Amino acid sequence: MKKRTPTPVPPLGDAAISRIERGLFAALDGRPLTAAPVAPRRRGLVFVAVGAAAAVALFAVREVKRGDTLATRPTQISTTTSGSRIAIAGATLEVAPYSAVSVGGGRDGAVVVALERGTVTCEVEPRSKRAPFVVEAGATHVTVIGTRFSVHRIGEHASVSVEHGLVEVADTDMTELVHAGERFVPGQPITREPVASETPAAAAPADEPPAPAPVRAPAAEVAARPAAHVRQRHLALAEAGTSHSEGSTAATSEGAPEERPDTAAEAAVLAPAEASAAQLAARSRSVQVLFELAAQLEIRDPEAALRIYGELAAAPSPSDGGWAASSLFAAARLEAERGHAAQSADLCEAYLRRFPLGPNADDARTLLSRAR
Amino acid sequence: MILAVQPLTAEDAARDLVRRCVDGDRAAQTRLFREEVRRVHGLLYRVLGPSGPHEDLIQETFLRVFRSLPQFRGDAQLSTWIGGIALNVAYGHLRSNPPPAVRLELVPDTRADEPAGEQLVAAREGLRRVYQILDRLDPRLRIAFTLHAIDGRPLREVAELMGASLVATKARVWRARREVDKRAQRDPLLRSYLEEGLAEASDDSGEAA
Repeated sequence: MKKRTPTPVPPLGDAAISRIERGLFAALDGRPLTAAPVAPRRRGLVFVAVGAAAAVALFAVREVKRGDTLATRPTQISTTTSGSRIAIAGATLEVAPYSAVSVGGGRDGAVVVALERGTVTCEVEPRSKRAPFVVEAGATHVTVIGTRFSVHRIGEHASVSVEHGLVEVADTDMTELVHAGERFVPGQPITREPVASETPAAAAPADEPPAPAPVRAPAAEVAARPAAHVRQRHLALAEAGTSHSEGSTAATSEGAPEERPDTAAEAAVLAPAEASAAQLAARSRSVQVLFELAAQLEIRDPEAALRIYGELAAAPSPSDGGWAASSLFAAARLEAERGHAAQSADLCEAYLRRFPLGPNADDARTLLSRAR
Repeated sequence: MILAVQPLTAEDAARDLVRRCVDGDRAAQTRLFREEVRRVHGLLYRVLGPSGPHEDLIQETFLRVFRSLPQFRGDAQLSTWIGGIALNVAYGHLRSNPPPAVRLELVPDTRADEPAGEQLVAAREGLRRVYQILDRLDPRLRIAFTLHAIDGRPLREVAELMGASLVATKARVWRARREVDKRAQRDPLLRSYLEEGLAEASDDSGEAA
């Protein structure tokens, strides 16, 4: 029998999808449901960006004229290759490239900036006599007291760097005050290094978020790194982890390429010597979050999952609650599942060298024998 | 000995996405929207034809999706559940918007020297006339017919999408086909299509039964 083929459906263009998306989320946020605006379909991204910026500017001017409070209807802005600077009541927002924020009102006339992705840097006038200024990024909420700070979205949470002033950061079950020159990363103690030391970030490509040099790379940044030399990096990290577990402090020991200054910094942060029990517990939670993220990414983005496992496998084993061992084995298993027998075998061997009595040692031997 | 990680199943991922959407996570809502929007568009296009207010109805569909997500129990696949909502939106639209007396639409120009240009124009005209006929049908018959006879979906899938029994769905398709056939017989262009297409559809529904 001849197979019938359905008549083709004309594709829904990106411009149409954007129009629908804007209308949908405006309606979800409580705006009156209106028909999607009619716009020319084939205009460049430049016009979209200019239009969005103009809308935000108009919105801001109107709200400034109205007073110091914002309406409850949020305005959304998404940036592409270039960032955007937005002036709103008592604050200036710098939206980094490839970021998305919505600006609206909250309780008590608060200004609420919701960071959906990417990075936003806020310069906020002192709020003593003004309505609160809040940045929400997933579970991380930053209440501003008057400051300049950056918020970088990491999955369901966010890191916060304060240049000057003071902010209050609430995340899941804790609240912290973050002062000038400090950085907040979910699940980790606040780092005291001045933010100005992060000069390498200035040289980063425009479409990448600034990388926090002295802090363990957050999940989203790890997942976003280029896939080149993944396997070599896994092995290097795995071997570096061996060095740590054996008492060596040299992160650039055998097999580790010179491109790993961040690993040394990560290891320094992860070193448990002076850390309190509470800090260790927080660190362990953070590692668990990363591990679970990697597990979730296995199907959708195995390369990113492998990168995270590789980073976790480099942690010094005594302090991480066994996550390094689990991560190293998980990487070996994932490579086997992807049909990469040689890579899987290398990782199994690395596991057995580092953790000969580890919880997955038998599994690693089985996997290794299959791979060989 | 247990393995370190249990691979996440598609069901787990969908459940996690739903939970995050229900919690108001805008990134998750955006992801769900972008993953499903083209499928919803395809469904609505099939049911309504080329002239429907597709963008408005897609938006309405996702509004209902996000407002109803707390009630999603996971009995069906998420995409099937969303498809069912899209069909409810289409049904409501068809019920509340009677067809215009004269249906006008813009179609892209076709160059005279384009290969198979004539057939393309004829096919478009045929499709337009089919939807003219469908405008006169009960919306339930129309939805069942378009999804099965035009979109080529198995009856069982149409039944699941419409939340109806297989028997009821077959009856709807059969009644719609009878109506379409009756009206198309008076149209020379459609008669030729239907003689071929409906015969194949009959084969398919016979198989599905």
